[in-house]
Amino acid sequence: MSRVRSEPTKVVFINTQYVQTDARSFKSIVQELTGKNAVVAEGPFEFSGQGYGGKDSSQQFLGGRREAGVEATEFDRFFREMPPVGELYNLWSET
Amino acid sequence: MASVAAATTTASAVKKEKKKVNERVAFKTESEVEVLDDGFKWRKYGKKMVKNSPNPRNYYKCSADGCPVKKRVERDRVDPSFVITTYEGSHNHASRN
Repeated sequence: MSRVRSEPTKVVFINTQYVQTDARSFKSIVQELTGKNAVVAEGPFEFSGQGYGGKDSSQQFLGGRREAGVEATEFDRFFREMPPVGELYNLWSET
Repeated sequence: MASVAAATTTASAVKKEKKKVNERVAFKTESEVEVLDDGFKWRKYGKKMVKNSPNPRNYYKCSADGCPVKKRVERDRVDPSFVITTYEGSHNHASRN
C-alpha cells in the first residue's frame, strides 16, 4: 500500500482511569478529578466503599469494548490486586 | 541567547510520529437516572447507537464559556442498573455548587 511520505503517523493514546462510586459521592469525586486544578493520578482506584466484588467475574466494564486500549477484564484484575480502600484513600490524600 | 535559538530549531524539525495522549476518567455508578448531577451545566451535542447495546450513548459538552470538558453518558450493557459517565479534560472554571 503506498503512503504519503509528507504525512507523519499520528498516534493517539487514550488513557482511561476507571472509577466505581455510589451516587452520593459521585459529584464530589467528579469535581476532584475533573474540576479546576484537578490532579488525575495513574492507575485505577475505588472510593467510598462501593464494593466491586460480588459481581460476576465475566462482567465487563464498558460492554467489553477495547475503548481505552485496556481490555475490560483488566479492570477485574486491577480491583483484585489493589490495596485496601482505606490505605488507598490515605495515599491519595497525601498527594 | 543560545537557549532561545535551540527552542525554535526544535519546533520546525520534521517529526516522524505525532503522539497525542487523551486523559479520560470513566465513572460507573448505580443509578436509575442517566444524567447525574456533577455540579456543572452541560449541553448535549450528539447521540449514537452503540454496537451490541440497546442503549444509546449521549454526548455532552460543558456549557461554560471556553471550557473544553466533554462527557459521554450511557447505560452499562451488561448491568443496566449502572450508568457509565466518561469525562475528558479539566474545567477551567469553578463548579456551580
